[in-house]
Amino acid sequence: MSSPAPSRTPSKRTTRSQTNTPSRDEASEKGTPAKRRATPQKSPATTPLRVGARGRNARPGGMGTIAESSELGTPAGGSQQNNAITSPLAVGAEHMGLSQIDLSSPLNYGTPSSLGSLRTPRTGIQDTPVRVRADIGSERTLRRIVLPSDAPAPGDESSQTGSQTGVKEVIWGTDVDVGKCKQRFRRFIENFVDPDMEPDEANMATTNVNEPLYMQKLKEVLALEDPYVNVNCEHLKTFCPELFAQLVRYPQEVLPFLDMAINELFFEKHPAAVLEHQIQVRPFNSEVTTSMRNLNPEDIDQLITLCGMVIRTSDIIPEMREAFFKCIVCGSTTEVVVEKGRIAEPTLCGNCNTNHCFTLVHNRSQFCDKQLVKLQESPDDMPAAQTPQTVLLYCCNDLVDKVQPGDRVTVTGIYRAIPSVLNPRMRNVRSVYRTHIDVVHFRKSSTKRLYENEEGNNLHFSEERIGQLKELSEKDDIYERMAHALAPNIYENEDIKKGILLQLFGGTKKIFNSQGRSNFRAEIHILLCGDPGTSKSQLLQYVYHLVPRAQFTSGKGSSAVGLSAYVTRDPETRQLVLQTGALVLADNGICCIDEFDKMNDSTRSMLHEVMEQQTLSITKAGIICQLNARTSVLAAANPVESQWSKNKTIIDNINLPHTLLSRFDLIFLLLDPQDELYDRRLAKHLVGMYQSTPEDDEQDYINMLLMRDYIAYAREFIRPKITEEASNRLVEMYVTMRQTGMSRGQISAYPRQLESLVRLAEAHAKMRFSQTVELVDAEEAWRLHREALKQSATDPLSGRIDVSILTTGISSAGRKHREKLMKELKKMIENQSKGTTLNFKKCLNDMREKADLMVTNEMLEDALSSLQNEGVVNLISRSSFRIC
Amino acid sequence: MKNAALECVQSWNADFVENNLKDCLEKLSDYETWQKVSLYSATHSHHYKEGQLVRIQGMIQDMHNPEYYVSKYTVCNKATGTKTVRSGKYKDVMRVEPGESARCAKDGKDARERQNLFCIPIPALNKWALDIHKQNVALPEIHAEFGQSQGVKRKEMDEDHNDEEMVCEDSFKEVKKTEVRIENVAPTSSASENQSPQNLDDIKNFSFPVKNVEGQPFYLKVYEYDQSTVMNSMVEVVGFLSADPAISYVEDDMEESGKKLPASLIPRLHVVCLKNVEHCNPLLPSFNFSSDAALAFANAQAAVCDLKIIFTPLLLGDKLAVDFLICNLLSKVFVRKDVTQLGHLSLNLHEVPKMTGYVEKFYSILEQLVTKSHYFPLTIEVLNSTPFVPKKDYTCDKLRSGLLQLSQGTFLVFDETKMTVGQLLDLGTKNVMALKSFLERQEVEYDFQFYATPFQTDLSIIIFSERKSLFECDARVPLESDPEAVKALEASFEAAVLYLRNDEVTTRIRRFLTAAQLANYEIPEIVQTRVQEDFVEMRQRDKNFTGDDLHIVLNLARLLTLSTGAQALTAEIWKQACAMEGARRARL
Repeated sequence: MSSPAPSRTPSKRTTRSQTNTPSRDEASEKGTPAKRRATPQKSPATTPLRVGARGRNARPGGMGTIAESSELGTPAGGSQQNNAITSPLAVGAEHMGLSQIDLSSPLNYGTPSSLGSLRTPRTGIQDTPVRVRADIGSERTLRRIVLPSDAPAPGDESSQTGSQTGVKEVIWGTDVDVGKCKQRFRRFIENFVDPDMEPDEANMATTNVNEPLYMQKLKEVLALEDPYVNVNCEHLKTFCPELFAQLVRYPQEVLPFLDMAINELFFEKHPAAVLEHQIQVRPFNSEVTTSMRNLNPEDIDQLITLCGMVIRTSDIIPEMREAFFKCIVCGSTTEVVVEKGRIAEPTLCGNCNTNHCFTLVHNRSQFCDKQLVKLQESPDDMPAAQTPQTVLLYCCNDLVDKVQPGDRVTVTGIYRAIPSVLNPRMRNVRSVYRTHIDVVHFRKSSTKRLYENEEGNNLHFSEERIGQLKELSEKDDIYERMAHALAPNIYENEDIKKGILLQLFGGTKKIFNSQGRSNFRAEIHILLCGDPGTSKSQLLQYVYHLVPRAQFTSGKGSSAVGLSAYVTRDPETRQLVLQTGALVLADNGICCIDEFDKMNDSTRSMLHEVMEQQTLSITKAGIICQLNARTSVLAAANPVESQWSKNKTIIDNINLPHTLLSRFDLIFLLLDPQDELYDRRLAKHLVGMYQSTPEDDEQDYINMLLMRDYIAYAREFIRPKITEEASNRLVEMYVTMRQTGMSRGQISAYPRQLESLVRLAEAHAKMRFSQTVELVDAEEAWRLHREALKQSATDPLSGRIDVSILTTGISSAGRKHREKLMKELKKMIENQSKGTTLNFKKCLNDMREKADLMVTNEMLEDALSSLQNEGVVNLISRSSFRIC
Repeated sequence: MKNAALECVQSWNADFVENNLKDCLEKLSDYETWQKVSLYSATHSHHYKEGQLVRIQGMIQDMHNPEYYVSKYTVCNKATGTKTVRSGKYKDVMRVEPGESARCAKDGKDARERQNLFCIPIPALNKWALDIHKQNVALPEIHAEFGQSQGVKRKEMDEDHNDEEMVCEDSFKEVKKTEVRIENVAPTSSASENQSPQNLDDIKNFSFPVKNVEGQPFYLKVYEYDQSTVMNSMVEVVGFLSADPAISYVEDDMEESGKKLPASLIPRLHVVCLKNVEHCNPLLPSFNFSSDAALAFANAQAAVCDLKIIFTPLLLGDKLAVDFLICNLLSKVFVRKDVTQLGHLSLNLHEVPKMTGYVEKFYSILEQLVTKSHYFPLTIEVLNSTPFVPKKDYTCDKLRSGLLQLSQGTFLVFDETKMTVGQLLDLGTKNVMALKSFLERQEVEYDFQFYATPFQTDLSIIIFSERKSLFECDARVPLESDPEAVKALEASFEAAVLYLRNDEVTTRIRRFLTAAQLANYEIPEIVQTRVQEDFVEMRQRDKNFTGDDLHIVLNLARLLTLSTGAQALTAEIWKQACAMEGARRARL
């Protein structure tokens, strides 16, 4: 798009192609002086709808100028001048301000102030200024071609798409018909209804899904006086693919007309409304590009949408948009629009004919806020072993300071490539374009957003990929396949893999705010406990690499603050800032904690809140807050004596407080089976890895990437609900669990276990891409739950599965055992006189002899401490006690 | 005519290559032609002309954003009014003569993308390899050839292209010549003659993982980029040199300034052909080397024998330690699946003799044998001051290198005997963590401030320490010293130095080590069964023998096989490997 000579002033710019309309040439010949001469005389208002120039070219008393320029600009099609509806004849320049005249507007936009404001005269005192749009382009001039139907297209400058009766205007170099474009957009605004609106698009709770969405938005604009309308391009695409295509291809040209259309509509509906400035349309979600890496020269000047992470923001730069010059000789003034960062200083004063007499008057020049933002690829989009790429964003006016470094944002804007400026003094010019994006819309992945939506906004699966995923989900053995594909290099342990798989999918989030309980967590926590060398760490590592938002910590090295949050002083601002730790960073992801047993108690106790409430409360250095920590915990622990002791309970083996243990949905033991057959198969598996040409059954194999997509898709789109049948079965299972404990007079299952079952069943349904939880899901949840517990809660004495071992820390058999021991102890104590001091060791030996029981140190200590509670004995030291 | 021009690689220029890209690439795929392209040498930078085709070897240290260049522009001669279309490919600047004006499409229609890679000389390349490279630089000849070939090329251009372009060609040369003169006075001297050495040193400090390396970093402009060249890839590149000082100034004032260093300091290389190479041993061809490698590999026994002669006395007569050392020298990660990496064998040799400078001396022998190696004393001060992990510096938009950003196959020798009492500061702790996780996963997490990204890294690590090292290695071998050997240690070092004076020996070893690292390996079916049975048996004998231990033995077996010059495991070697690991475990 070549623009007219740079020295031209705005009114000149209202001309379009130089070739065919003589009057335009005349206009440009008149040049600045003519404009300067213009006086604020009102042009004959043939219609009340006459529009003045919007934007910066407005000057004090510029009303007349505009009128004049409109006269000048339009004569080519004198006949069209009356054509109030089809379109403005004068072309608006697009930049800070649309220096355009729009006869079709219902408003008479004046240009009374040098601030580029535009008034709506009909409203009398009140008015809505036109604020120039800095975001959609540096071209001041839009060239349009007026094509009378009977006239042939003027040369090859325009591509005419078939003639219409009457007059047609197209944007220069394109086939975009201005009038049609506006009409379509108007129809879109008036009629578009979106049944499944995303929550964050509805600013107000009152938005009615069944009414035209954007009409409601206009009402919001009125109510909130926030003159921006965000338009989801997806909506536009479904409503009018052609307009969508035009918008994406020629955003800079089309957007002004969309603005125009929406303003006309708005002021028709609300003639008395006063806004800060005219309504600006902000499209977002244009699907041209989603990854920075895919940007290529073909995207230049198109509307693109990208996501990434903000890494730097510059200070606010006041950017001069229009320079104000004053002649030092005669005092006459002139304004010059900044074109591509340069000001063409006027040399000759038209008034007094002096050369080089102009000085710049800063405080009468116009500036706008501008900020440079650097956007970097987010780590999930990055191909392996490459560094992240960045793009430069220019944001203007109210988009300034919308984002902070560290934010993950989705940006919609126009991709620009600017050639290095040709400097006449330099012979050689770098042949490189500088690229940036003029931002029109930011969308932040904010924490305010509901959990379910957060991830999904960055998810864009191609139809093909979705097909592939769905096909995969229909396979009968998908569960086995996925489990097999999970950490394929880790040998067997199928059930553990299945458990982790279900953890990756997670349950369905249920919210019970109305009932007073916030919500049931959807996250599944898993503890792996077992012998060293059973690839626990590898499993953790695998998960860490698979899940986009995963954190990996080791219990050994972490402190409570490292996991939660700490307060530091920012070196630059000297302000206290909250630095979040691993658990918060893994919000909506998985936090892998290795060496869980080595973690100190105070650190561990902090996990209580995180694992059940999924929040993290912090009171530090005057900062009191509650952070979301909706993370799944995958922990790995070694047994106390590093080797699993078969005759100890899991509590003794893991030595973790049972309050914490009961929060794990699944506790898996990775025990060394010490079985010949197993060893043989393991050896075979390992040896196979050393072959230079590993036998690959690629077609069956689900690779990490496919798996990641599969999980992401399921997490995003599948929200299984429990069917009647399944819920009955779950209840039944729970009752069975309760009864097993009940028969021995103990409650062995708590509601927590029921919740676990539900979550597991839901996760299993998600894995099948099923929107309902069916019997199979419930059965699998039950099986896995039992399978996990069978290993972890097998009572070493009775060999029975017992959940109470987790909830009370003592198995029911152990409880009986203890009772027996207590009885024996009491018997022994009765034989002794009061006040006698007994040696612990001796007592232990006695007990071992008397009762034919297995008595360990701990058991005796345990029994004695409960006797102390009963007031029978008094523990003096670790090695002796006295009988009271 | 065209063929003649093709033959004369030195005479290729940007336009010629652009017009005959396919033929040129085909020509370059031949190693001999490849070698005809003159190797760039920093010390002789003034010998090179602007736009000359040169060859460099290096490692990708950083990847910048791709840039869009003007692929075509129209130049209008104001006097005659003639318009010429010129190509911007393989060039940094648009060529505009006085009295001409250039025009390129404003809307970026003629923009094309090119990738921007930052390439540094291969870090930790040992002196002997550098020396051989230097010998390969044959300057005067090239010079003459370049001059002569102009004629050929010009004729060639006459035939293939129209006259108009011919004219450009002539004027182009003229301009370039004047420019080259300017440039040669200012920039090159600044680099080599200490006018402002500060800058190049800064770059080196910043971007080189290992300091004090000579060599010239480059910006590579890659036109046909296929995602295979990634961070830390070793590359060999043929491209057009561009050190025009005119390039650096027209940067955007706000964001770009200070980021791109002037071309005089870091020349640009417009890449015609970029090859990822697996090794940088100058004694073997950098690609298509299978036959040479086979030859070197066949010498295995002699080479290993030499290695044993050299290292046995140095490791105090400890044969087991020598075997492990040789295995370490051959190790390389050959499989990466998800989170499993196979093939690495980091080695911790402890109970080293208390002789001052033992490790340094040992290293001085080692560095004469391997292509890339680096000695790093693990002292508190150095740990606290040298970053191990590369970190992105957003103020200058570059990746600050760290010690662990070395190319694949580099030997890193840590000297823990230097460790003293002291406190690790922030950086020190990070370094220790980084090294630990590297030893565990062969992966380094580069710090991008807002997040860390893991980069796969393949280095061979040897840690010398007095007691068990701070860092967990794949194999820990306490040295069992023979008192005789301890006494003769000084003499042994001298003997080793003498032994290595023999070029035949060193060449044999050097070639073998590289060839063996890259060799393929397999386990025949029959041996596989044997391994399985042995594993079951071992498990029964020792319950603590886990799958991880089997990995170590399998890896040893692989390395032992390679050290015999074979590529398939035999039962015998398997037994040997078991015995080796058994002996090592017995010592712990």
